[in-house]
Amino acid sequence: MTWETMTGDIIIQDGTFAFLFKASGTIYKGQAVYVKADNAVTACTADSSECEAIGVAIDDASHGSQVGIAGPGNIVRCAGDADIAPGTLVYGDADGSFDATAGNATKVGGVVVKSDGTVISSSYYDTQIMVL
Amino acid sequence: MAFTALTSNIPVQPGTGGFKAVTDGTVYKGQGVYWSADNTVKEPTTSGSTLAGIAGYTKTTGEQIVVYGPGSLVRCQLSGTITAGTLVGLHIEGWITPDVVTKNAVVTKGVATTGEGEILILFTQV
Repeated sequence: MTWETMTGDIIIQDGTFAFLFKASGTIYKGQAVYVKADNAVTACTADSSECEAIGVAIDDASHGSQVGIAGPGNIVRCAGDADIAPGTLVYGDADGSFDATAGNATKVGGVVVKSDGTVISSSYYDTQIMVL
Repeated sequence: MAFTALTSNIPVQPGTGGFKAVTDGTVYKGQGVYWSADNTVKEPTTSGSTLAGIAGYTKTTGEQIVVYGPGSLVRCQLSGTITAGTLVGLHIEGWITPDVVTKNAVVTKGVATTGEGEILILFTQV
């Protein structure tokens, strides 16, 4: 699957202030990110250590630019890899999506607040989570 | 090894505000603390405590202190060589390390040797 741009605001309820990090590689609005290097984040993949999501990108960002990340405590929109039921714990996964299966992740990325079954792209669903 | 208080400001990016607690024993600026009693935080003397947050100031026992907890990106003392992205937790004397069972923070700025680094404190533990 490939990522497709999300439209509309990412933050549904901002419980905490967003963080600024440097983008390592291109990051798209709505993607789950992990800490790649000092003060730098990258979109999550399914690989070990690359699926430890710390938040969701608020805007698109090119490599080396600053990107706002909605971190723990915020309710945000993101891409679920299925129509995931509210209350389900989710983990960072391929293409910066979230998945109900931990896979290689050891850290919970968030808990689903709403999934209305709206498909963003080929297989991703517009999903709201609280980042944990 | 004895804990060394930090001199820099503790919040790097305060995602949430610091909260107030009372200290049990002396707590040093930059030290990781845990909840030891009602509204009270303390430096851990054993491993295995859950990190409540990082102390914003140095305070003696019974004083009020500001602690930066979950949702904040803060400076702290990292023990050993730790790279960015590593999941970490609270160790003896308030050091932050991956060598503990309970982890509830992720390193956002690592260190080549023991010293001042930066972590994002999480709402859940690994």
